[in-house]
Amino acid sequence: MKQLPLYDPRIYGRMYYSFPLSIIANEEGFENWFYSSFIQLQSSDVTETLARGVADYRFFYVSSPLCYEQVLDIEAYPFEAFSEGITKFIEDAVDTGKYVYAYVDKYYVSDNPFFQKRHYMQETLIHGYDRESRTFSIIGFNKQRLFAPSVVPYADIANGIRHVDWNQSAPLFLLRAKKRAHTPFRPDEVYLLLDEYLQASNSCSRIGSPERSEGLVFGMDTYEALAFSLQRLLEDKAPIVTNIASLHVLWEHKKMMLRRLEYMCANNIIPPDSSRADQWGQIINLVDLCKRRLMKFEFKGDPGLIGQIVADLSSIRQREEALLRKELPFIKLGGT
Amino acid sequence: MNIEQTIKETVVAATDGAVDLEKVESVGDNLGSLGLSSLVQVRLIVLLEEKFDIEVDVEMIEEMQLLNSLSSMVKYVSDELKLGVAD
Repeated sequence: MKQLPLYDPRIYGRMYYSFPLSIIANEEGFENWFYSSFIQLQSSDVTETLARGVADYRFFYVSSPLCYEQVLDIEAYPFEAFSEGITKFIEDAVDTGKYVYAYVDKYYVSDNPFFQKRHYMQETLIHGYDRESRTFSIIGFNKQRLFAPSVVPYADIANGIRHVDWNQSAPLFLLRAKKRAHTPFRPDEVYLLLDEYLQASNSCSRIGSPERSEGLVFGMDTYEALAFSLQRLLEDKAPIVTNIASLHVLWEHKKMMLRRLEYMCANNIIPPDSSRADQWGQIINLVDLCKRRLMKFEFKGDPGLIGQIVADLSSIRQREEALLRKELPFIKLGGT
Repeated sequence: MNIEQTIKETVVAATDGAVDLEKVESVGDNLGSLGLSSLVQVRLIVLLEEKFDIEVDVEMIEEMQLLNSLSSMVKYVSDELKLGVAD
């Protein structure tokens, strides 16, 4: 039996960032990199959202392991490299200290909401195995929709991997935390990203992101996209759970903003402000309320709840913008 | 109707049995110690609304720390039922 450690990812709304964070969160210098990241947001624009049925709402440049090359050693394998012996490939990877990040058809994997209900390609992170019980240790969203570890049979993962369309999918990745990855905190980069967030600027070209930017909006413009996506729930059977996940991402984004500001204050980059925690706390609680209202809508279908959420999103946007514009001049100075 | 007992049973139902009645009773008044997720909390509110034919504003959950204390929930439901009778 072998199991690699997992650490508190701090944020976990989407597996494509909670998985890498679960691997690296205990590493030296993690906080410098972490608080320089997860600043910009992106969403599908109204046209794309209409075509998809729901907004694709996410943190900018976090959705592939390749986005974490500053802090992770990454190996990518096509299906042919492991198709003859999936379980041995995984065992060998874990034996050498590598976490296995793979797309699987969740229909075949127990302890998740899609098991034996719906074919759905999604990431899983394998961090351990037990040859005696022929089980893998994984982490992800379980059948209670909680981000938690699970133990599943070898056969579940093997079948889940075999039924992925590997011509369309990303490769299988083996991940390991980079040792001694010195990533200093960079107030200049944080300033640029915050400014782009406030200006709703497209960060793709500056960052050199491999992701496409057509059909996307950024930063403050994502509020409108999210509101549009939520209002679609009133018109047809749009996916509610995806919208709940989007509000969860928004909530984590606001928590990150406060933590980042507190980190910068603790490192003398911005001055203390006795009202900071309370003002951001109000925003964070209001986003959490929006999320709970949407959960209630999932059960009761009361359109008034959507109206309240959309109104609250407008308030959250205004309040956040005011608070960030107050902090920006100090961040620009960068503690000088 | 025994309000307190009904609330305990509703907590069990909201967790889909992940928390059983024995566990709910073992924490006494301190329902907060059950660590119910936000999804379970909302499901609990919806079930209580159906059981007692009352309305619970989601905003009240946080304001009143409603779901942390069994006695708070009993009081809230009792007050809402009295208001309903008065109407």
